[in-house]
Amino acid sequence: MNLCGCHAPKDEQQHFFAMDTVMTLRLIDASPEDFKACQEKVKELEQKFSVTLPESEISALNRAGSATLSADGAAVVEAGLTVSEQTEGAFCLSLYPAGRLWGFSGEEMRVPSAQELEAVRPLIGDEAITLSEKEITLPKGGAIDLGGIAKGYTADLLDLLLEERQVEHFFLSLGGNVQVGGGNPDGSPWRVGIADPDGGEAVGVLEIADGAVVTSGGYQRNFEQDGTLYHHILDPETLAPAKSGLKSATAVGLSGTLADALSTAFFVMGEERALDYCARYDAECILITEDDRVVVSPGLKEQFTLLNPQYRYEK
Amino acid sequence: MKNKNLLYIAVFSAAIILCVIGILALQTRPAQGVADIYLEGELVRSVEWASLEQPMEIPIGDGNILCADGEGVWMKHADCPDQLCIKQGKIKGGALSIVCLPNRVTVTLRAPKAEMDGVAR
Repeated sequence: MNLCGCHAPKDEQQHFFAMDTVMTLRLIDASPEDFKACQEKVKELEQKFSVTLPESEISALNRAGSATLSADGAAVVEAGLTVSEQTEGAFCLSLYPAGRLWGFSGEEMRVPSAQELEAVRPLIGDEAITLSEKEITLPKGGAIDLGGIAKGYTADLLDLLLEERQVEHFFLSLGGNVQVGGGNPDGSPWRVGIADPDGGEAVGVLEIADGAVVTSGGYQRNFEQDGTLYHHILDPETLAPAKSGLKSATAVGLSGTLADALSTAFFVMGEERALDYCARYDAECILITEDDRVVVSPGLKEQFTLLNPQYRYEK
Repeated sequence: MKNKNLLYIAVFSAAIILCVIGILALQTRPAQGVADIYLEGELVRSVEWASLEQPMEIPIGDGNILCADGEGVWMKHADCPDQLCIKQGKIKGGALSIVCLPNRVTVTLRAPKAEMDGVAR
């Protein structure tokens, strides 16, 4: 309907399952072909990055110890190694052997023995990975998992794809990784909630027109054994669930790839180190501490509004 | 005669304006209190939960039962191993969703535009 020259934007969304999670594409004034192209891109990248699909290039690499990666594979690994170096190992691609012992890669979840963890310790540490162009070599017995960065990279490629297809306004959620573009069609920014780690209403809302908002928290995947809760974000130092004083860490930036990796790193690093990183590398974060404080990096203070009175917002 | 023509034009213009306002109001009306239920990514049902006076059970596929009342929606039963969708409890706010990954079920709540467009989690 188009009377008087104005029209209500066509606001549609699709849900689908890929990369072991649910993906939501909300596109404004887009065609069925735009949605299809996005879904196909996600499925294409899943075939490359998955550690559970035996035919993926990462599975093949983990079996053989070396491989020639696709351009996408090499780009993700290179980005991961950069974040790993900049965060002094808080983000780590090579934690996969430890993650498998804990059962966070699809196996039965359990607390591994100290001996089991010590046995895989020589395999952990991204400095032992060599990447030259697309040629990658892992230390003997080592394996990588792109789970902490692949969805962010996928979001970046969807952002580019939508730009090419002239879809100006979009709101994507790839398993909770939010990537937005163009702001809301009414001219206002998108309003992105930050999940309550305790399962209640969103802690607050961030206004952002373009970019990525990615949250990592121990609440996302965990199990209880003998009265103790164990979550899935492992500290590469201890090979055990990170205990940094945070309930969740959110990274915000233009790059989904960086935000994805940094949200995990910030959760491992804790409040002080995460804020230091943000100041040093011009990054932005929203941290929710175990004593229910919300800590927001300086560049986001004008864009963030606290909604949940359980938390205290420290401006 | 001229006055009569002017009157016709004024009445006709007012009718057009009222129609346009009505159409735009319908198009921009925020959908509130509605849960959209997706199975394998396909919308299978929409439920107006906000107006319910009694709890209502909604079977989804073979493995899930969603419950709704006037205060929100929650997953009552799931035959999946992790039970994460059950643990999520009742949701009522905008932009929140319940996901049962093993059974490929997603439930999303439509929200008034003023709240939020989605949640990073």
